[in-house]
Amino acid sequence: MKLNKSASELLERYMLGVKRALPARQREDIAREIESSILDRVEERFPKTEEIGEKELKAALEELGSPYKLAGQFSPQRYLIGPQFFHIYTFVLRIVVLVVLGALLLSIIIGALTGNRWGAGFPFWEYLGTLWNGAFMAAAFVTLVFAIMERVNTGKEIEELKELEQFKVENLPELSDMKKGPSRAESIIEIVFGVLGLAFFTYLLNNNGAFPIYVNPAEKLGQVRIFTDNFLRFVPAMMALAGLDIARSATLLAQDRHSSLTNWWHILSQIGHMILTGLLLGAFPLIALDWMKDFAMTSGWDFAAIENGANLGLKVILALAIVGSVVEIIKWTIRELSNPAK
Amino acid sequence: MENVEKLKQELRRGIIVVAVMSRLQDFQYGYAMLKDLNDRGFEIGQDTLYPLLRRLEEQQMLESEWRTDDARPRRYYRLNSTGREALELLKAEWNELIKVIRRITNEAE
Repeated sequence: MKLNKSASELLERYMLGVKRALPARQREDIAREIESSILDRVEERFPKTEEIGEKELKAALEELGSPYKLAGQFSPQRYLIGPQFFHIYTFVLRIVVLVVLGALLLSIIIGALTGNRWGAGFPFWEYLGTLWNGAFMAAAFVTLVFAIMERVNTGKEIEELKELEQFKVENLPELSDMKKGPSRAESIIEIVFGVLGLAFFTYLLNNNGAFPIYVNPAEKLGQVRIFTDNFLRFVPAMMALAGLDIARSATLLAQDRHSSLTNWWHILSQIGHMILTGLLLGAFPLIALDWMKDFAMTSGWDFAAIENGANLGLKVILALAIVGSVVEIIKWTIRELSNPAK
Repeated sequence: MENVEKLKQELRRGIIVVAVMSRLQDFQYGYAMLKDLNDRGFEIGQDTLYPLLRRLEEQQMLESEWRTDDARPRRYYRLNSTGREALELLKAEWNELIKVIRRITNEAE
């Protein structure tokens, strides 16, 4: 018995869903056994069919239920939340924790921007603590609810949960993300920009944060400082992170695939970026436009407003960068834990 | 009747391990064992069998190996010497229980 192309793809998608619901320890081993047992079941159901198509496989999978349900049946037994609810528990837990984290992050950013809390006293670690507490409380609440359900409903079917246990093709994860290797163009662009960044930071350090000003290419007016000492003291850390990112992109180019090493490398690099950006937010002002003072006075511009505006713009960019890093960390960690690259 | 079903499940739960271990004197793979036990009238689902096999393996009563000489790779299980000894003790206990329960139920009649 063999599977045709569309049936193979359906099975691969189903198994991807199964792997996501299995505990990290023994994941590959249990998944392999589940796949073998699915094929045994298909063979038993269609003994005379040499090539199994999508229709036949779908009929067998419908009997087995959703990947979550099947993974729960093969997993080692848990005692706080039993096998009846465990697969639904992990599914709900992930959604609730992610939603709570997203809502908290948004409220922190809005509160900080409107309350003008960015700046010298930016309580980065306090906010990180708030996020951790929120995620922990959400997880504890969901666990408590399921533990109560486990005790109260043992042996009974719950209509609302039956829906989640049914096999539906549209609920299966797509393969494209997993199958797609790293984009060579993306890696090359990352290396080029990384090298340009390193050159820029080296220039900044050598010139103490100053840039030359020209009226035209032949007439240099002098050097002006844009970045403050507060900014310059973080430059070595920025260069170290840029160096690590370049090395990761070069590794991806060389091996032409995502591996567990490059995925965890990316997660750690994003954690580094998030911490560094948080520290930068606590070190404002980062931009000083003293050189514009004379020019602003003769032109009648409000110098203080221009400098504040430049710093506020940078704050918003840094805040967005933190959000981006948090999203990347959550996305890549879930992806790597649920379906680790080899 | 729902309560009776629950009691029947509780009664069966204790002897599932004897039934499964008895079928593991020789190498068997999970799906074949599931079919075999159900065909012999002992109803068991994969949600019971596979976690039990893992537990017995963790308790070092079973050995398992992946075989690739079948149509597809399959994981085969078999009792090891500790498992065989445990099975003998469980069977003796089971026979003793049957005698005691018969005596008790006959006295009650």
